[in-house]
Amino acid sequence: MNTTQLLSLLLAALAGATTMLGLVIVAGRALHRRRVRRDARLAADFRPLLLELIGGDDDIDEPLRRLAALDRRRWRAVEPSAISLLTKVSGHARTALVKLFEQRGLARTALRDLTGSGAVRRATAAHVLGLMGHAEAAPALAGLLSDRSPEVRAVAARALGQVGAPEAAGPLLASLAGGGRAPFYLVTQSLIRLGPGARPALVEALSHEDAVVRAAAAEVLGLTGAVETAPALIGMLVGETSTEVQTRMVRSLGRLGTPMCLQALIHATGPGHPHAVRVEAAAALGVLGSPRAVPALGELLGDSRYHVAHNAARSLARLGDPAMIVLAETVAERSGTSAAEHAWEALAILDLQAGHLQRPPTPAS
Amino acid sequence: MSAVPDALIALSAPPGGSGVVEGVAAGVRWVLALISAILLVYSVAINTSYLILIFLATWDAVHFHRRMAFSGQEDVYANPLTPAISVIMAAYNEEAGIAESVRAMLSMRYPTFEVVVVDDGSTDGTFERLRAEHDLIEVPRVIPDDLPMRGTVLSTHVPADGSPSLLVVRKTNSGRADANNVGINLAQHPLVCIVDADSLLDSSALLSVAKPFADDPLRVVATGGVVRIANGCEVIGGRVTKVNMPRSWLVRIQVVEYLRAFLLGRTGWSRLGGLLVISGAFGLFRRDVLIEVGGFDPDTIGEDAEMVARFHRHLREQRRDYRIVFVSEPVSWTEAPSSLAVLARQRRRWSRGLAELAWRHRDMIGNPRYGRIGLLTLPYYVLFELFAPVVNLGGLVLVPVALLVDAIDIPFALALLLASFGYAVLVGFVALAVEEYAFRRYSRWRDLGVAVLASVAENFGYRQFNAWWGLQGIFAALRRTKQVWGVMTREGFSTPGKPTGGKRG
Repeated sequence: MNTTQLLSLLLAALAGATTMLGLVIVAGRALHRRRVRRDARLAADFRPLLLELIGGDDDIDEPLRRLAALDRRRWRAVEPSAISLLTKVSGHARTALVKLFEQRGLARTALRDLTGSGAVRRATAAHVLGLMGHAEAAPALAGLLSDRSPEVRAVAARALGQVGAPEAAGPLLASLAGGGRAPFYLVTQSLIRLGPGARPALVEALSHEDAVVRAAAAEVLGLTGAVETAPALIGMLVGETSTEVQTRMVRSLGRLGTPMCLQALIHATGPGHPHAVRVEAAAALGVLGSPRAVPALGELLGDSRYHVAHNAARSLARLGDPAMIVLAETVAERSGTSAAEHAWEALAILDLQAGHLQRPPTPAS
Repeated sequence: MSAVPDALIALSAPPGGSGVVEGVAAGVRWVLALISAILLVYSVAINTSYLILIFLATWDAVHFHRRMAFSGQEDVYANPLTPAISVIMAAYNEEAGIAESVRAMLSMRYPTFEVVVVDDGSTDGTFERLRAEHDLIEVPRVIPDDLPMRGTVLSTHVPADGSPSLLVVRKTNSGRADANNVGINLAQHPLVCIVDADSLLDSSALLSVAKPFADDPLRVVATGGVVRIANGCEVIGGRVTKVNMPRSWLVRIQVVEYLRAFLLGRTGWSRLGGLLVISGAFGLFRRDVLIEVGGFDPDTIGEDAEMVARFHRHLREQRRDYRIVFVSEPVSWTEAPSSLAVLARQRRRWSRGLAELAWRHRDMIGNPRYGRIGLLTLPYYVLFELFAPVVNLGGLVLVPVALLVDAIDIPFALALLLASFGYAVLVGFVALAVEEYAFRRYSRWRDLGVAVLASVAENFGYRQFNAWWGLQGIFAALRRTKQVWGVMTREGFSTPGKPTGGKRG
């Protein structure tokens, strides 16, 4: 075969492949449209039944019976709407939907699929069990936190929070170790959902060797208002080596807001701490909301690092009259300094919050 | 594999004769045949590379769609740890659309974010439109100097109701890169989203680009969102509500080109861990890392790609474990050039930006210290993006010469040309197939037909003009002429019940 013949053959192959692709595109679109229309029609037929089921009437037997008896083809069209509803409703409506899913055998099938070979199958099963709050699934879901598929690990982490079994706190925290086997935000969200029962595991995790685990534990303790854990947080903050973890610990201390936290935060604004920690501590003092922080924050207005001084000014703007006096004094007595400019900016914020801006853009003008 | 050497032997065989002249002629023929073979190999290689990137992107798209049912995007919205975002919109003479753009941006679905509009010394009514729309008042603001600024901040403004979600900064004109740096300095939040003032974002776009940061907060340092073409689409309230193919063939071809090169190409690079370009029209960055690398460089014309290159350089040199991720859905929509003159300016700018980037970071090219970026991405961009205009136009000139001196015969040249075009069309069809199965943005049959024709038409004229403009961009970079952005003439978007937007300068 000479070169020209080879090229001709290549051309024919290209033309064939292009035509084939064109047909695949057109056929794919036609089939997709047909399927969408059919599913929409079927879903519309049974939507009134679904709404009747979750409508709050005492008698749900009839819609429940009819929906539970749907054949597989019709149920496939109705199922996405039913699952979507489950994420949006609560109380009786949720109970009715869970009952429907139980009757259709979804929980049983999902439990079986948790060990299926396909990642999508395992993730879908975990998703359904989480939505149903299926408590018996908790151990199997915890096992999926070390699944080889990242999607499965993510869905399992979320589902454990939805199921709400406090014993899942340990495995959830452990799933963050070693480079983040499960997504950080999903694990922390689930830990928040687990409530006070998760706190012992969270306190224990503050001394975990992995910084990501410590960071998650510190954040969740602050977000869930676990005031009794403040001493533990403060104790760990002293010896903490990771700036990222220190920053999150400081933020949590601001949220917890006990007198003990106040002292620790004032200490954390000191020059011996990393810049990021000082910046966060200055902001956390505003969140904490105690007028006892005003002198320390007033000092920080003159800090040479912009973000420390800026956050101190913003925090002072949250602390009421004593702070306003300090801000006004700073403007008057330290005119021309960056401290006065930060104080002026904070006073303008207070003006705006009061509904009218009294001040010109700069103190000098 | 043996086809090329065979072809060379066949093609370079002289028609007969003897002596020095014959020897030189034979030599010339041999060189021309060799160049023709190189062109063939180059053409096959570049299209094959597109194909590989598209297949990688397909893998990603399939994963994305299979995950849709349980992806839990709403979790990002409800999570108290979702990082807050400062959206930076640098605006220069955007009077026509700025009010609607900012209004649309403020109504994005995201738990905590602020919009920082930097009016870069506009000479039209950009600021007045904003002041009227949001009842702005001037407030004092101490300007941090985390990043160096060339322009002077004249004033800062917030809505009179004290809403913390909007800050408008007026400054002297100093260019887009410097305006972005001013915005970054004033950003309050840990993530900074850079968007064009005329970008139209899908309502959940911030949730999508922020999700990788929430998933992996310690490693992800930047995410890029896909940019699609809004010409011809219906726009209501700053949102694209109906996706249509544009009316102009020039823009239709760009739609197909964006799909192949930007959406699928960048998704493929992201999959390989070698994403180099995050569009300045829609990218999300960690503010602390932006500060570490020194922000946008006002002295380069392709400042968005150059900054991503500096991200890679800085983080690799510090041996930090990091990720830069491309998010293929949902999207930012932008208006593409609809005239040859504006398109030419844009492509010259892109080519010049790439040339400047390659020169500035030349020590990274082929350097194992910079991992995949040094060993794969940068060499690829130099070989198949920067030099592509040179090779394409070189081919256009040399093949006729080779025909003239009988270095190659006409049937072979025609077959070569057809095979090259055929492969390019095939790549375009593969990209369309991925769009059809994974994204389905263009729902009308007519639009599909237009996309198919545009995939074919792209190869006849459009690519060659692109190559010419690319070559001009390279020469501009070599001559180091003054950088000029030029005016992007906008036609506006179609809004039901209203006439099409008119010119936006």
